[in-house]
Amino acid sequence: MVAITQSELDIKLITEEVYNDQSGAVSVFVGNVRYATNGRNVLRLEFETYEKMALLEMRKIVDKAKEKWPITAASIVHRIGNLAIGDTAVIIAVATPHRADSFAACQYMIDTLKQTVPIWKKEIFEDGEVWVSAHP
Amino acid sequence: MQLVIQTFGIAREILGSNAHRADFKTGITAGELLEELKQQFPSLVQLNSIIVAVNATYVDSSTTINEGDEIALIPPVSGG
Repeated sequence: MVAITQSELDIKLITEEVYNDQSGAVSVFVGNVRYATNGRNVLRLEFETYEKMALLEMRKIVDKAKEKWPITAASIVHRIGNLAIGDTAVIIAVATPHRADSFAACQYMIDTLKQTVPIWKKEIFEDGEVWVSAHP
Repeated sequence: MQLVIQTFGIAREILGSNAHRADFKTGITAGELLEELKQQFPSLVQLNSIIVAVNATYVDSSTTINEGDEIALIPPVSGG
């Protein structure tokens, strides 16, 4: 499953979706909203996306990962909109026959998502707001 | 030719619109388009990166843009 949603992410649903009888290993990455960045208190995050392109880029990540590791099933689901501290922004789940491959594939998928998928987050602080990574 | 440039994140704030309409010469490349926008909106130059996407795909600066293409300005992404 590759999806973008405004709704709360259901970790059980997203994880169990990749379960299958060929895979002894399932690795899951959960990206949550942190309380503070560089010592500044975060009130909330606002995520937005270029959805059409983001879904294409997310599918490319799954396809590339499948070329590199023996993946039997993979999901990437990203939430957008207003998120509070502790909310889950992204879940990646990947199933492979053995654990070394699921760990490696899961790391590759989140690292690549952060580099290529057109999703943006704005951190709202008590005393201002910042588009993350926009400026040096 | 008239193009509609979709903008997101800080690029939307810099251009002041999520769908910037402007006229460009026929056969303009993605790189030339970006240079024109940087001259008109100098704050784009301050960003860590700014990339043009054509029809929902990242393109290099030599790619020619055609009338009717879906153009988007992609500032530094920060998902996850």
